[in-house]
Amino acid sequence: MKNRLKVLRAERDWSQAELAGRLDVSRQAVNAIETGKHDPSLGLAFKISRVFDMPIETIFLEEED
Amino acid sequence: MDHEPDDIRNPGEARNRARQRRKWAFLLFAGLVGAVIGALLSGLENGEGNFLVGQIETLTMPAWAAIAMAAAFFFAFAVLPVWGFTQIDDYQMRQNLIGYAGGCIAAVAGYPIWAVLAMGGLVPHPTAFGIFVIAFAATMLTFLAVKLRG
Repeated sequence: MKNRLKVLRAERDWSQAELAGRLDVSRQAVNAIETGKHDPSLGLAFKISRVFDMPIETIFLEEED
Repeated sequence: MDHEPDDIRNPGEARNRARQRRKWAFLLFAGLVGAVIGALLSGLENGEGNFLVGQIETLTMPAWAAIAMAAAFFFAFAVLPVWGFTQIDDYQMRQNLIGYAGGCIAAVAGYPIWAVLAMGGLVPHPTAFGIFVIAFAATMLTFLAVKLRG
């Protein structure tokens, strides 16, 4: 699954540690999501949506076959 | 002190630092538990042999000490890791579970492989301690591999 986390984070001038703290996860988790190595749980996806004040489907994009 | 303005401007980074401190406190506590178990074990065991290399046939200890040590090992190898799972995020949980899966697979596959090799006279017969070492080492190696892979 692709996501716009890195772009959205850069727009707000947040470091990975800053976003990790806002989401209450490790910085490594943010890095893994940004690089596509880890898909967040539904709960974390909702939290990300709240932190960026955007709908989930505008942050996470389904990859086409 | 200039911590407060920094914390207000970057509340997430402040929480992340607190999270890091909790992680190091947990690791320090786990290390302390290990040191206490090691010290107690060396003080309570009698006879000849070495617990750390699995030579326990000629080692003894009082029944009360055996029960106390069993409880300490249960705390160190079961309670502490399970509690640790409640303190980490789902990404770290995934890494830990993959590590434990590596150890479990190594023990399940390791015993029959070792047994048939022993039947062929290629290696000594399997021991419970040997299986423990295989499982523990495989857990650590799998966890490290997953961590390094990112």
